[in-house]
Amino acid sequence: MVRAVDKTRRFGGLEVAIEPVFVMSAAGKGNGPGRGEISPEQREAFRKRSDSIGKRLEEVKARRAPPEMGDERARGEAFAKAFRFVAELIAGVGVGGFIGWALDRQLGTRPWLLVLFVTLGFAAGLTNVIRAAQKAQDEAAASQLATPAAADDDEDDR
Amino acid sequence: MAQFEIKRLIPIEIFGYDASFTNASLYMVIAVALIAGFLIFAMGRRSLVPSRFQSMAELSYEYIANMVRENLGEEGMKFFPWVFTIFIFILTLNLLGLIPHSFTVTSHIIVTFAFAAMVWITVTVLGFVRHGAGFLRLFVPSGIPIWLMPVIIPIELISYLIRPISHSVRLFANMMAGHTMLKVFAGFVVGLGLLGGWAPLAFLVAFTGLEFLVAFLQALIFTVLTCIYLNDALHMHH
Repeated sequence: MVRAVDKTRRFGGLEVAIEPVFVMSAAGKGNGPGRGEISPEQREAFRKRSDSIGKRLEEVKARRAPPEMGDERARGEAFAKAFRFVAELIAGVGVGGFIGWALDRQLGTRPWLLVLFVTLGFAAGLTNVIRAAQKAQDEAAASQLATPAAADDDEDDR
Repeated sequence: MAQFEIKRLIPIEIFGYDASFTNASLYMVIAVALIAGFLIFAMGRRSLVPSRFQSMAELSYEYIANMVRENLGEEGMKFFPWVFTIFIFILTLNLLGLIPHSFTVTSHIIVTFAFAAMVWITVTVLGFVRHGAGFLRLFVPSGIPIWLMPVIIPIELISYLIRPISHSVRLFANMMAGHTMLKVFAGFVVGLGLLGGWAPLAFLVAFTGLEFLVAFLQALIFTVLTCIYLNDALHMHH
């Protein structure tokens, strides 16, 4: 223990903190007697390892962070989208029915135009829903493609 | 229900029309005062490291600004003040309505329809100004065989006409249904008394939380749709 502390003191800067870890792991493998000197190869290997750990950590973070943060909001937005579709369908039939009813009253053709316009209104509502759903799908696909960059931006914003 | 009743506070009559200052008008004035007060107070200091209020103001600005940029592009920022006003006004009215004993302006279809009609008329006028008669091409999707036209054009026309309805009904229905639900379950709490009233009370607490989410979301959806409709008028790709 004392030896380890001594040794870390000899290295300056950044290495102070990580050196004891290295000594312990090297001793565990059995290829470093812990004499106090570290060969350049060992140091190189350690640096590589710490780099790759850092990289992997970043990867895991990037993979985990966005869904956890955006979960609540994503659910809310999905909820909102569903409401939008429902309103679109109801409004379609309602407006179609109203137009048909009004025209029928003016022209005295009850109930044929009502039937026609309710059908048209339903079709119009459906068109709007399909269009909105298509747009949502395109957006979802686009955001999935751009996930890494988007995740970075999000973190900076918060 | 009492909470949806409109009361005349200051009766005014102009040319035979009833233009009284009602409780709805009062809450709109309160909302405008709150928004103006909040934004002026929050941005008054303008420090580099924002205070809580300042960052709230900045967040709402950025949120809507990003939405406008995403939907309309950089040139669409001309419409940012209008879109932001719509968003913050509806949001404030929705949230004001959640205060007990207050009045929810957005639970009246005539108010939400007026908002939606304003958006619809603006979009239509803007479309004709920008594209002239070419705006009518919105009703004729490209790549459709001629014999389908008599069916498609009425459908497209109606789907354009239902916009203000679906736009306004969504906001109004959500606000009114939410408040009615709260009222009904509050009635259960009293009706079931000390023994059974706890279950609906717990539900009420959860539902009030949901109502806050709905108040925010509906303001947001109204704004998003405004942007989408504006985009139709500006860029017209279908």
